[in-house]
Amino acid sequence: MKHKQSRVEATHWWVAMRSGDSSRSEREQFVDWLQASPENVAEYLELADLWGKLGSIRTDADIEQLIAEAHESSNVVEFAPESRAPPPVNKRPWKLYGAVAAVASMFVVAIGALMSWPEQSGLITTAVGELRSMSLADGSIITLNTRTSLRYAFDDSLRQVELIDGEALFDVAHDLSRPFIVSAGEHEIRALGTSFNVYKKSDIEATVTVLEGRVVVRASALIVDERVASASDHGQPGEPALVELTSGEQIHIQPKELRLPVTPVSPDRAAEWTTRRITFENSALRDVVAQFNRYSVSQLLVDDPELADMRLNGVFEPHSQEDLLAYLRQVEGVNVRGVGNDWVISR
Amino acid sequence: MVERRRSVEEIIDQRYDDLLRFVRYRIRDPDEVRDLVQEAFMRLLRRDREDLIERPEAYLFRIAANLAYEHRLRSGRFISGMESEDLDDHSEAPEARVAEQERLQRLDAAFARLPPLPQAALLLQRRDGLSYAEIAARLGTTKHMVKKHLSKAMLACRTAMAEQA
Repeated sequence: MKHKQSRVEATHWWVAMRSGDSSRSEREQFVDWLQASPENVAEYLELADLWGKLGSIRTDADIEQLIAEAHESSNVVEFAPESRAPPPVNKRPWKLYGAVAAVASMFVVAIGALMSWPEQSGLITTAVGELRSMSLADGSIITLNTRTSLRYAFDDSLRQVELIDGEALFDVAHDLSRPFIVSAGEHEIRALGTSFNVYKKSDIEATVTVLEGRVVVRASALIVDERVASASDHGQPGEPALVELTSGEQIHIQPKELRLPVTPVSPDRAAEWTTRRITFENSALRDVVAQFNRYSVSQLLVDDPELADMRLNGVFEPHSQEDLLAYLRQVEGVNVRGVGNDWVISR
Repeated sequence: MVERRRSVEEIIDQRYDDLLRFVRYRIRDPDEVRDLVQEAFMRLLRRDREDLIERPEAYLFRIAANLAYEHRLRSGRFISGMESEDLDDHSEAPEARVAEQERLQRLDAAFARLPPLPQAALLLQRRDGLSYAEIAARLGTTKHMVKKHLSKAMLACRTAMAEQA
């Protein structure tokens, strides 16, 4: 079939612009192409339309099955014979646990014993305000909140993730033979099949919340050193503290804390950010503003200690700074003014 | 509100409806779309070249979304500052909606007809948000081949959408 030239070129550029590493000269050529004719512009915009529709494509195709099919017909075309495709992972909906999960994990373990896992590694980041989900070859799913970066490296004995910055939700595929370990600065969270959220505020401060299953948090020795030896709940001074968390539990690790109290939380609330919503219940304005500031380049500042203590209730979209500002503007006695790109809230 | 620089993803997410409407006018009035594309092209020519080279897609999509927005304002599809999606849909002729349905069915069919690897590559990219390197690792191939699979898949889907019913 003969394709329209501008259409073929448009798909070429579409794919090139999504490689994540387009060079300057490549972008220069792309601009030249766009500026060459309105037809090129039209074709490119049609691809944007197509891209949107592909988001809701109806297909029952299964990745593993497609890969298997491709291998069956590989006598025709052989792609990179030196690298082996990942073994079939039993893809299943996340919330499915119990008997099915137990059988599935036996399946995975059995496969794991027969063939080694390919190494998989990479770096994922999100921009301010961005939300991104990705699934890994083992079936685990990682969702990144605003301004987050993490590195992962999986091999046949370990699944390691380094949360460099920000917040992420981990839906870990069950695999007894390969522990899933998330490091956040000085701390480490170890999981088998489970779902948990980590928000790293600094190298020594982090909040860990378990939505399902069980994890072990290994809080750094640095933190334990800060404690009074006799008051230590979770280990000896100088040794990392090990705290086990189960579903609906949260721990906030921070320096100068004598204890690492485990507090109950609603799992739904902990993962609420994945729906681009945050519920505030009797929250101080300073905390609300701190949340909003994570999602935006322009920052909000509260210029009054009493105002910073004002309590707020409601469901907000943290990406819509304007919503919060609109709300504050109609509160009596509150003054909102723009300073450069930022906003100062005062009385 | 000071407009800050946005990433391509943000523009696609937040203004996608506008961008899509831009293309959808084709069904209602092909001449209007030709005019809009022509105007987008002209605005693209007027842009600072250095800016364009920095983020070509971001500028193109923003221009298109702005144009669609301006067009919508002119055609009075705004009601007291709020646009009603329902109204917009009802204003489309029934035959246009049928044609759109048919286009979507052709897309599903074209996707199903793709060879396994282009199909898998596009699913991993669009549905799972994997990078080319990640797709390559998953499919046991190279980034170069991933690009080939994706080009093939996009072209086949695009051609199916363009076919006359």
